[in-house]
Amino acid sequence: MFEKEYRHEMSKVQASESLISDTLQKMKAEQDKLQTEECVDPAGQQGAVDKGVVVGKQAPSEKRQRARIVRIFVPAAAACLVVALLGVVLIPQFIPNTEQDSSIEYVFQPVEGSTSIMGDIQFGNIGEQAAGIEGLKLTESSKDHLPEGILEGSPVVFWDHSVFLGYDEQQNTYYAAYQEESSDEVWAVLHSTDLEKSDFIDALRAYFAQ
Amino acid sequence: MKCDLEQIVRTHGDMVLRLALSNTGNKADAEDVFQEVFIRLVRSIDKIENEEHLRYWLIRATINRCKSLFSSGSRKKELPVDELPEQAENTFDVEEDTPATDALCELPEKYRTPIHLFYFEDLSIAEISRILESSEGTIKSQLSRGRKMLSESLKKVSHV
Repeated sequence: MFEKEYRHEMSKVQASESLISDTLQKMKAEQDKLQTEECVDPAGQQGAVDKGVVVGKQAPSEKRQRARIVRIFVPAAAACLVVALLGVVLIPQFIPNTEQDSSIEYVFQPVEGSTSIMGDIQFGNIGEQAAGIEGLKLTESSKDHLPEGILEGSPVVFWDHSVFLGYDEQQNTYYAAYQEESSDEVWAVLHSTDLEKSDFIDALRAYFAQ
Repeated sequence: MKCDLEQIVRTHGDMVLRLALSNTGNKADAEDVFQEVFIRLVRSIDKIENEEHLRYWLIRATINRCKSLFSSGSRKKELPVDELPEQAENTFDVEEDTPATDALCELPEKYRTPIHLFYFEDLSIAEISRILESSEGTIKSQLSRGRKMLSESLKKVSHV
């Protein structure tokens, strides 16, 4: 219904002739300004000089231009190369080894062939397969990182890229995990989120109160 | 891309104006955005490769200009009818009663553009995600949430 009404309303929005002609005038002025700028551009200044137009400072000679390029760009290129080499050497040391680093907290590990979570709020249970929440299960290491009471089979609420695990009223803390867009991994976020709190949180509370 | 700028304005002007209106909710601001976008096009036209690229460029430029308008705080206020200057020629007519457009303009900005592009400009989710530089999943969820908020908003209007 919205689509039909919106299309009807928007189809009546048209630029008036006066708006168009005023805009075209301004575009012409901009074109003229651009052409003037091109005339004073050092890159094109040789042409302007050839035509006998004096437009201000004379362009530096080609030899001086080349010297300037060498003076500025060569050191910059050398610096970039050094930084790149340092990066290649140093950055790998900061990439955590996911197999050995126990500080990475996997809440869920997608089962082979699972799809990403999308769409509206969906309710389900950890470990079960259902529409939109296929293939998620707790990993062995994740069980130690989750709040008490969240186990295989615990009810959870999925919304878009996020998985809500629960809300601790005493600590006023939401427990949630979110799915990174670039990855199928889901990371635990064990603190209050900045997610929209309107109807979704009310639905969440109602669900966990059952 | 070789072009006739006037032809471009006449062909794509309505699209730019509608997108600007869907973002700003305000005729005066929409017109400002309209002019700014086409003035900027003058400087960028040589980089435009083809018609499809032009369309994407115009959409992207309109969205960016609307965002700049919001962030600069230079939005114009709507004047009451009796305070309008006598010759308010640079205007377009919008029906007074536009519940769907009003409801869209009340949505958070991140939902308005995908909804307008999807429902009015008939762009696909893939095209929208390319223009807005977001993943298709994000666009889908924005459409889904935006639709839900719209239906609630329109329900309230119909009960009034």
